[in-house]
Amino acid sequence: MEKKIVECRGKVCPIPVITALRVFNQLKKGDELEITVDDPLAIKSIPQELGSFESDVRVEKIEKGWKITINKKV
Amino acid sequence: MLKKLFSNFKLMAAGFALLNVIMYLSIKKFWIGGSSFLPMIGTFGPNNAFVFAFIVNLGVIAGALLGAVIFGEFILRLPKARDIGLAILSGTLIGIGVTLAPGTCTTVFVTGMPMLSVNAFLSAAGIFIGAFLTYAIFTKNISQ
Amino acid sequence: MSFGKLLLVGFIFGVGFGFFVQRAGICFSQGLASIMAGRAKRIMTIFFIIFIITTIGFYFGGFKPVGQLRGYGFFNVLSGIIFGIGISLAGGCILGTLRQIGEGNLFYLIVFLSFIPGMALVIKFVDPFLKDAYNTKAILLGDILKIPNGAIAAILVLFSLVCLYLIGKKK
Repeated sequence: MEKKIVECRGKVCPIPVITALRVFNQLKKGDELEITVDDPLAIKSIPQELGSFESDVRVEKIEKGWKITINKKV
Repeated sequence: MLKKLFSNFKLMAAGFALLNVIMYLSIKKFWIGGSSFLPMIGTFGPNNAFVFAFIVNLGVIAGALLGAVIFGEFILRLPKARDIGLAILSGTLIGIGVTLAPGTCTTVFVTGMPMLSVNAFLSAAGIFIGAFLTYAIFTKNISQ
Repeated sequence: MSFGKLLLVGFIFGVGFGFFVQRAGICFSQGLASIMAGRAKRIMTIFFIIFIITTIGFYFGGFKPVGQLRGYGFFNVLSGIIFGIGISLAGGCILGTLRQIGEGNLFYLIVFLSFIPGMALVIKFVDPFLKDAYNTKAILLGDILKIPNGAIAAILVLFSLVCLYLIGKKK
């Protein structure tokens, strides 16, 4: 069970989302990716793009941004 | 409940489209993205068409501010020094693209294609090419 | 309606557009990037929803070519390429730039102000000899294909509905 942490606050869009998609593809079943973003679009597109079937996605508000936790189910 | 309603992206996209239609049916104007910034350099267009579109765009900023503040998504972020060059370069390119021919994402994907306007389909082809080039050269290895 | 009143109405519609764009999270720049990254479900859903509703609405309002001023020609593709590169570098299309200014990201205020040099460049230098390169009469798809526009709209709307259904089903 590997856990990856990626800090994307302050990064210009679309880098946070592309990074999330790219790292997610490299994850194995059961791995977890924790990505911090400050772009409100990222907390909408990442869960909607990766959610439901492939993974569980949780979004928490943190100081100056959000922490998105994605663990891969498939 | 309200937060869930206003976070449903499909519903909000439908609302956006519906509002576009209502504007067209009510005041016979649709949202021309492309030349709507020309008033910034003193070109107001036939019977002030560009001024109208520019005011609509200022409304869009206010509306986004409203939505962000109400739902707690407003975060003031100042650009980093190293990003300013990128902002100026990309903004200038957008300015060129916007003025060369009506071909912004609004006049192409939001109003152009539904209007079956031929130049929207031509511009769309160009936008895809431009986006692909940029993605292949920059975005791909930035995130490695 | 006086021009001042029209501007006010326009501004209010703009506030509505901005609110919906912010809530739905519509950004074609990010949409294009995610298509290139192989994940197109979200942006295609948004596009088809907008396309279906707007096409039907515009059908009743009467189709009118967008951008009569410059007609259509090779410059549409060229401007599309430059615009595509610009929005991909900026990470925000017109909707994205305006939305992110409203969300507090002032990087996009600089992008917004940087439109000015680009526009001035075209209007001052390129525009003079641009005039003849244009087929000034903007035209609708139906007029070119000699098929009634209503029929084309119906076909495209049906196609979009099928795509929406397929996207929804594809988990």
